[in-house]
Amino acid sequence: MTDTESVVTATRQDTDLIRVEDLKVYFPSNDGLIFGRKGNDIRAVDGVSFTIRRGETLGLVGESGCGKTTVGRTLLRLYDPTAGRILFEGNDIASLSGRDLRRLRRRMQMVFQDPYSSLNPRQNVANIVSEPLRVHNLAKGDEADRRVHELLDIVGLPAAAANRYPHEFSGGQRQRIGLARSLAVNPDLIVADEPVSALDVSIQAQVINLLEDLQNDLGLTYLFIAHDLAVVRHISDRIAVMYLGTIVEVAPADELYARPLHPYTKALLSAVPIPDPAVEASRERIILTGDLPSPANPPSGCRFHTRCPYRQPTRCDDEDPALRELASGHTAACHWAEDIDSGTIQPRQDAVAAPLGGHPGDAAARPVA
Amino acid sequence: MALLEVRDLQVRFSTRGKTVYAVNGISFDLDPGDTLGIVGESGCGKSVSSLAMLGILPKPAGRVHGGQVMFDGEDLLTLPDERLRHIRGNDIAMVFQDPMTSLNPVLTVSRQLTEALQTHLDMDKKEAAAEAASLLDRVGIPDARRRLRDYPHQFSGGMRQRVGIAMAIACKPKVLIADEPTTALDVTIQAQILELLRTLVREEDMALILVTHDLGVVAGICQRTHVMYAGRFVETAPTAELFANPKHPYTVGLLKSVPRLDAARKQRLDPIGGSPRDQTSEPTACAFAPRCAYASTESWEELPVLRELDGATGPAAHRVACWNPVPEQDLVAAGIRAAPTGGQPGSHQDQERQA
Repeated sequence: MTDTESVVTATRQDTDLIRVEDLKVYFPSNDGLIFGRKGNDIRAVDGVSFTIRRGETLGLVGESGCGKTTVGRTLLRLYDPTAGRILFEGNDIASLSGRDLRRLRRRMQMVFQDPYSSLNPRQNVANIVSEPLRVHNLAKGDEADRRVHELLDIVGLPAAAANRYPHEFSGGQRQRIGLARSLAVNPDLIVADEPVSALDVSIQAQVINLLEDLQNDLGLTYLFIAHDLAVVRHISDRIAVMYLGTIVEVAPADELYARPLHPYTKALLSAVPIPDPAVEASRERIILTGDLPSPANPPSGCRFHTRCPYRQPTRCDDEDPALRELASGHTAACHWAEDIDSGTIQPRQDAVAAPLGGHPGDAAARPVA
Repeated sequence: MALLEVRDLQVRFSTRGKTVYAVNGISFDLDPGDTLGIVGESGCGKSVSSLAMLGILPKPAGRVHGGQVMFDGEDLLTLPDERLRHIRGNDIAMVFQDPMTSLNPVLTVSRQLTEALQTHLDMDKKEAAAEAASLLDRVGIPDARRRLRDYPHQFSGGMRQRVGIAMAIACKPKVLIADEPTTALDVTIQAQILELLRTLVREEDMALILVTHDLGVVAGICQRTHVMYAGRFVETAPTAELFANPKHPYTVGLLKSVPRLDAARKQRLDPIGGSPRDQTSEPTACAFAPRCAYASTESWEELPVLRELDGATGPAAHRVACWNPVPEQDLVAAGIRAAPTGGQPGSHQDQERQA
């Protein structure tokens, strides 16, 4: 980032657009086969707090089932929160309804993961893109047509696209159509839920660049939800890491990579394959054992303790760690973050896979030449 | 003679009067213990190639148009079904992206595993049950004996993929084809599965063909990588050499377009412009030319074939199908190569041996 740009970002970022306080979203579940027997609620989001500053991109990462999508959808009130507050410019979205809610929704839009299922196959592109204009009574007739062409131009599609249908477009182009639709109402916030995961890598880069251009040109604020850490790091100013319904770490993007403080973040980063055989052969990686526990019945104490290679007796099992600020703008929810960072606490040996030092089968395939 | 020799494999699909030229002549050898990566984007023909080798193309749309797949002196493409069924599963096994497609949802895992063992290896019920439990244990499923009684849906995604791998290695195949084995999985689970595949290849002396879109995955596991575009291999080299010294503009484009977690953040990504080739006609020129900054008149008129650029042959050979390979200074500018030193074939071979 150049100096002038960082100044611009700094001035843009001094106000919070979104402030989420202790958000909980539970889904009821029925356990077993017996009718009506009530099971434990699925605690998809269980006490999450964060802020998104105006004009910034907050990345939200975590594995499937960690609640990141639920957070995004609840921000737009596509789900109703069970508890907690969501403040949009200081107004609590959680308590709005009817016309007030609809008015606020105009300022928040969503871009979905699957560009195939998120566009109505029976409507042409002009209809799809102008639908938000009609819903919110912003424009109709010629005015709406003009706006559609303007929007298509913004997302890099030819004007002729307006009369065509979604199936005539490739995945990357469809994602552009979805973006045009979300931009139709001039939103402040865009929740982008895995917007590039369904795309091939060469197309991914096109869409990511477009998202960045739009942010610069239109002053958008993004909540960028994804599981691909390299993509999230590229596009985000700050990143929040979720595990089993809670945020375990928040930090500026580069800092999170350079100095992850939560054991889960460390494991996540070390698991990402790097497209460079030399790096892959030399780095140590933490292999997490087991699967994500059930969010209906999360582990006691620290939710990560069942899989944590740094787990310490009793405290991790008993006491739920709070998010603590460990460096400026860098918070983590781990009792032992300082000791792990300084190396006083080492990971369990069986969780660390030694560097590969070469490719499997080398010896067999190529006897010493 | 190699364990598996694929020569000029061609696959076409016919639907509603249209013909899709999915695979347009690919050739490669696989030796015991080899780990081979096939990388490409969706629609490039990488999965179709592996289905064609095993004779499990979707019928009737897909058909092998030409070529040979020699395994142990027999051409798999012309073998009678019965003989092919014997080889499939026994000698060559496959792991799929979504293990749900290879597992029967209404049968217990035990039933499916023991069936394979009983038919292919002539075990009796008791032996098969014991072997099934040890297989699940082998692929890292805790409490294996009890889990045998479970149905596929009772396993998580990662565990299900382990079951899929257990089934694939049940008969100790000589070749394991893994088609996007980790694409549906989360990164921490992906790391577990890749670690398992690495261990299996090392300890069971299998040859592995790993089909994936993820450059990071091949970087960590494959000795040699083929890059596929529009149904053809456009570049093939030892993996370390391919990443350090890519020659084909498409390979370079792929490497430049992915953000890397371990490098400084780029201001902007460098996407490959345009979109993949519409494969409804037979390629007669370089399929990548419309998206390529290096394209010349030749690229538009004549089909480039794989050829060696630096004279290295055998396991160290680096071949590229391109009229205008990316010059070294451009690789340096793109940050793929560090300094303008080396570049002689000898040094690549040395790196290979050390690796």
